[in-house]
Amino acid sequence: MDNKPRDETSQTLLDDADFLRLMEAEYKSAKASVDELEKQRSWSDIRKKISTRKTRFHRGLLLVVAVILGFIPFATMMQKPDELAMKGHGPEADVQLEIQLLNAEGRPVTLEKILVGQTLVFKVSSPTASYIALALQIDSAHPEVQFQPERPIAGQDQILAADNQAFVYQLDQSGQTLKFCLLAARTREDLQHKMENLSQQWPRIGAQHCQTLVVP
Amino acid sequence: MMNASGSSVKIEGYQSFMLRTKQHYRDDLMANDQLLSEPEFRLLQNGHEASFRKVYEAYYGLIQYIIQRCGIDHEEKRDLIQETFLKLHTKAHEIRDPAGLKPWLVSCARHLALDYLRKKKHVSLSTPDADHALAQRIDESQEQQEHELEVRLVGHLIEDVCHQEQDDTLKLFYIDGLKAREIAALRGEAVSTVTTRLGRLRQKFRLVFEQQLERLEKGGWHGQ
Repeated sequence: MDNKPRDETSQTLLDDADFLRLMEAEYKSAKASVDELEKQRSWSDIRKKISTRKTRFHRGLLLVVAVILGFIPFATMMQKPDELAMKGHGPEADVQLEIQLLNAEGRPVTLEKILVGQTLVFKVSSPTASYIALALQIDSAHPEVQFQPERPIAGQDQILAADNQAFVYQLDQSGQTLKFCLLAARTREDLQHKMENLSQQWPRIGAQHCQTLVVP
Repeated sequence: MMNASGSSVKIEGYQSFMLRTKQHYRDDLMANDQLLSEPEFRLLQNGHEASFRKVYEAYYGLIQYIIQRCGIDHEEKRDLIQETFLKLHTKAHEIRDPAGLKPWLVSCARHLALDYLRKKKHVSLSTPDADHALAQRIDESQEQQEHELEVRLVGHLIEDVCHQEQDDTLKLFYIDGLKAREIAALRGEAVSTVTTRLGRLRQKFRLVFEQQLERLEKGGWHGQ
């Protein structure tokens, strides 16, 4: 994108250098203000897009290497995308989960000291997912899946910084085994599809998105 | 990726970095034309986030202004700003030195804006009845699109030249979109006469343009 020299036959009034000089002069003269919130939102989007591109590239590269080396049979490649995703080969969203346990006074305590009356706070972020939901399964002997409502993710760092973006669960019974899983997707429709199919897929969900806690 | 240890340290670092960058890098833009040092520039070319962030903080306002000035607003403006910086992230290795960074970025924003406007026009022209003549007109619209952008930016200067020279050839060519042969036919002149006159009027335009830049640098505003 170098500057093109202006020649006698050129019909362009402004070449790249003229354009730059004019825009800079106008911008400085106009003292145009910048919407800082919009600017930071845009930065989050850019980071997310870069991260998604890198993830896709690396996954693609790994997949190619794995197929070449014979780690993944070619037949696996021919399966439907949904089946691949469930087995961990597909475009699963990259999700980070931070769990905090708060006592009755709202002070953080370690997860080992879990008790009835305390509150679990799940803080989530993702560089690749746009929507996220938390599924809770209480007492695996009589499994019943509850969902905390799905919510959009604004950006990788914003969600951790904002208190209202955390999922919260109050521990109200002793002797419970809580299993919770994060579901994340790039679109709300994909996320709802995952939620609808969770009861069948529960045992097959990748362990990296799930954790189990026992309330004494 | 389960991480029960929390990442509050990382977030605090990020927020303090943000506070520091907001004012500092904007001042940097005004004070120093070469934003990045040679080592920072090499880091940018290698995809280093801190250098990329520094460029973003410094030039976001200018790029936003340019895209808006090209007549693009709202969601499309946001998309094009992001696209400009994403292009920088992937193509920074094509820039020769730190001094070339800003011209590259501004040129990139300009061409992305032109592409957007061209495609928008293309879609509005593409009807089921589109025939060969229409397709040819779409090709011609690429050049026309650049003229339209120039009219948006410096149309008032074209008018000034016409007024000063008592000759509206420049206006007919750039603002009304007539070709040299069409102007020649309209005036009953030879095409070569019109093209010669256009050349002379472009030189006059250069003078008026430089005067406009001088006015802007002194703090005046003579734009739209």
